[in-house]
Amino acid sequence: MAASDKKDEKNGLVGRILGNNLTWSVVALIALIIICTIVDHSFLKLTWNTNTGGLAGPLITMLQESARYLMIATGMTLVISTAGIDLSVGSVMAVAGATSMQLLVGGTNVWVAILVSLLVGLIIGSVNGLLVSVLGLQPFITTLIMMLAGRGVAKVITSGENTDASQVAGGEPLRWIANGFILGIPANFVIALVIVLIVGAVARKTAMGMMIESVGINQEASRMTGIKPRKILFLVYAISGLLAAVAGLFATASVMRVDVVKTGQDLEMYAILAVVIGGTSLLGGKFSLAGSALGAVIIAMIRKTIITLGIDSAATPAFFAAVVIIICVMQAPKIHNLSAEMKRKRALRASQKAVAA
Amino acid sequence: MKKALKTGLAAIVAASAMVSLAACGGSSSGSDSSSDGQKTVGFVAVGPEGGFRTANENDIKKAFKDAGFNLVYSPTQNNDQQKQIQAFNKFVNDEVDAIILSSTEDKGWDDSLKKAAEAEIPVFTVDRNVEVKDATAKKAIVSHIGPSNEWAGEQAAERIAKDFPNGANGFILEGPAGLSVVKDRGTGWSNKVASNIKVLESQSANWSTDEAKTVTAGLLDKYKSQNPQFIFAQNDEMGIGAAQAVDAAGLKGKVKIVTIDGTKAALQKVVDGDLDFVIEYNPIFGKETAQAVKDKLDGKTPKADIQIDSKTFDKAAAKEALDSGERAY
Repeated sequence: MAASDKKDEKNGLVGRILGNNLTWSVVALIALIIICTIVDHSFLKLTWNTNTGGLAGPLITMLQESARYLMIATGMTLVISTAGIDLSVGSVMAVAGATSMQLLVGGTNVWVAILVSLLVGLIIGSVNGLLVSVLGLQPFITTLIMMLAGRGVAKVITSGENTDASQVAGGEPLRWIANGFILGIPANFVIALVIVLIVGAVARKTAMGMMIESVGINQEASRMTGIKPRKILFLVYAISGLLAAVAGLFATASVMRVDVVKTGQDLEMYAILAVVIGGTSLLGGKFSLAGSALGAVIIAMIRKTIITLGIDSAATPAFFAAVVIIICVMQAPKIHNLSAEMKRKRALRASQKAVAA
Repeated sequence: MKKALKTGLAAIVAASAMVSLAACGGSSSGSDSSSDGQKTVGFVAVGPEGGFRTANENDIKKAFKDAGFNLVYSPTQNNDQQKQIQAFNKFVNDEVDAIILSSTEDKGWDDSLKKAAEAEIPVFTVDRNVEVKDATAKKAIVSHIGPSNEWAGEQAAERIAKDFPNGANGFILEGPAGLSVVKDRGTGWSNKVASNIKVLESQSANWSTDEAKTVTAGLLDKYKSQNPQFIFAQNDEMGIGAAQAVDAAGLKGKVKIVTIDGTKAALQKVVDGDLDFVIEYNPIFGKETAQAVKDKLDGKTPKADIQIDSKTFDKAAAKEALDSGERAY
């Protein structure tokens, strides 16, 4: 009796681990790293690069790239958990990047340029928030319009040029943010991680996270319990805009050049994918920041895998999609319950036979 | 009070929506021509997407204005061919006097060109050529005006051969798969590449500086043991990104980067030693285009293929071009 109890407990633990979305994300990440290591034996090798003053190697450049995904995925997680969506993050990245580069070229102090860019992101996010919360417009439409408008604004800011600030003398701090190292680890990854932790702490250590989730489940009901859905909605879009601006700084400062068409292009899709891989439901009402962060790293890892495997450039979108689908399938509850389901069906059939006999 | 605020906000949003709608309409209006004898020319364009395109389209707009045409500019967004086809068909329905086509993709134009041929509207392709199978559709195209992408690719291969007479390994950074430019620049490279020059891998970086940096960093890691010595980037933007990855890896000067386009930023990088060689893809051919359209409308026959001359820039030539201050983009 005692033994079977123990077994049940163990089953429960294993079941819990297997049933957890995070587990499958970690498995996927490790699987991708293993595949890369098989193809390129030095994939895990880290060397010290005296030129940049930090670690170097495929994993390090992967982390460097993941920083921007971490930012937009975090903002997207909060928005999606209110049953909304923010399609404007890629365009906000371009606008923020364009602002910072243009200001730098114009001779503005680099810190002022950074602050103004973040402010621009916050403003665009706030406009989204205002339209969604106060006017009650559909998030999809609101942010879709902002996505189209944002690209236009970025082009207006730079007059259609790809502004290059790499020659500007005072740009060092910004360049460091994207390319520098803290204790050998990419600075942008550290900064992104700290921001994710802060957002996570605010969401989970206070009632904020619960309020966001309750708004996602039922706005009217949460209003009746004393939560102010409008404020919450406004807040999540504003935060998403701000974080997208940070991502835009990472992306442009990496090369000190904004590409008005390419910067942040399609990244709203990556952000949504990262959130989905992380186990946050698109229906809202539940979120996992840790999952989204892991999802963001996985997105960067998939892109690294494409280069490491040398996938033909025509086939890369298909490869990307295939990997994401496999991860989603691995996470599907139906798949987890497959064995239990089969057992149940077998039992059902047996009992039917018994009845027939 | 609150309600008033809400209504006010709604009004502002509605008003701004109307303004943007009106702006959309503005670009396609004014196509009813010849009220004052002015010929109307429709320009199916790509829209501003960085140095080359902006310079090219501004130059065409200016040249047609100078030549006394009424040019109706219709850009697409994010290289969307569907929107270009719509704009093209609209020009045909409006019975403009001529159409300039700067297509994003080389295929899929047969039906639209056939309509133009039936309406007897002459079409001039600029920059990117289009591939047409239908005989009627072919008749619509009078001339192609633009620099040669194949030539640019050939120049890149020849430069690398000159840099490394004893052979070398390297990479190619391509634009997005499926574009005719990518294909033509690649074909040019393959035509002239020396047998001892080995391309370890061709990877797409989508014309983007930022992506090129990531891709190049990955390729440099992957092929460290094979000592990569050159990178052929199919445009300046990607070359600039690649240069930063090379610099971060401490290989500046050891990996030679050749790019195509010839933007000011790239020429500056040649002077600074980040890039080795830049092949120009000359965007300034508005005058030639306007002349060809004028000739056709005057009843003459312009040449079917009007090739625009481009230059190449090594360090000295780049410095000279920048110092002269004449480069428009």
